[in-house]
Amino acid sequence: MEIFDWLESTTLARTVGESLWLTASLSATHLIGFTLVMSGGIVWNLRASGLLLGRWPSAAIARPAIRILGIGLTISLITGFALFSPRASYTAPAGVFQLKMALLLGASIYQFTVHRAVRRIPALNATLLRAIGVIGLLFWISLAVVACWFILFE
Amino acid sequence: MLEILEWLEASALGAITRESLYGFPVLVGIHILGLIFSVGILFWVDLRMIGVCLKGYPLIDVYRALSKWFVFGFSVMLLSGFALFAGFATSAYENTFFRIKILVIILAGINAIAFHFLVRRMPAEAASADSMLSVRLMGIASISFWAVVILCGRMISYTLF
Repeated sequence: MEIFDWLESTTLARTVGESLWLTASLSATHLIGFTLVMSGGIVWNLRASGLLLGRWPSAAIARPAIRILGIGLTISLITGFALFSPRASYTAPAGVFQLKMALLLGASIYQFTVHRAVRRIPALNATLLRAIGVIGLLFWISLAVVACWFILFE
Repeated sequence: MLEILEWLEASALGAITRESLYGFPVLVGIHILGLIFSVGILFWVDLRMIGVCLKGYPLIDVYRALSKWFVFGFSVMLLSGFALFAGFATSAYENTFFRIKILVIILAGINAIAFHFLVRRMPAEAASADSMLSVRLMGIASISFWAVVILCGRMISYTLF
């Protein structure tokens, strides 16, 4: 696709592509960002599903979790875009990359939507909250597995 | 030392990691999942130690509630890490990032043990640890150590193979 060819010709792509150290540093920072994403996503949903910190109100966990998730997503997206740019035409058509992006988008939309709903209804039905947590865990764990697969694909 | 590493590489575990079609990718996947899980959950304890989140809850309760989860994650990470090391022991031993990673893991372990004993010896103080500078510093140190471990781990994959 033309847009990927253009992206690969940008200064950002050439700078990243020509430096192994920059690529490795970006990749390491990307993993730190991803760890933060998973930290927010997994702890929030473990609490919602009743497996972790069950005595504490879910709102107390949800607020910091969404902040950690947001910071992690910002780091991951910036570094991920920089890593994607020099190999855009090779990476974009790969099924594992598309699956990773779809799961990241799905999990993020789900988490932010659920977060808003839980904030609006503090006394949410326990069974519903548990179901929300289990679905969220499935999203984030699937994303983690696919992300590991993508690292190996690279 | 080199003899031990060569023996480890020649062992069945080393051979499976290095030569099996799925051995290496599966182990790397498990290792990264263990890391994400353990460090991701430990991060909450560290933030509570610094006083950034969960301020309304005693630190000792946060630590007790989360410790079994991150200890499980660390166990997975250590076991898979040892299996990966067995496959490439001699070259890993000579890799600078691997050496830094192991050194920093040891420092992170000492930091965690120091915190554990602080909690055991002074549970009342640790419960209301907001004012304790040593606890805040331990939290900052823990986050810094694990960030370096992740950085070095990724660097190893770019410089070892």
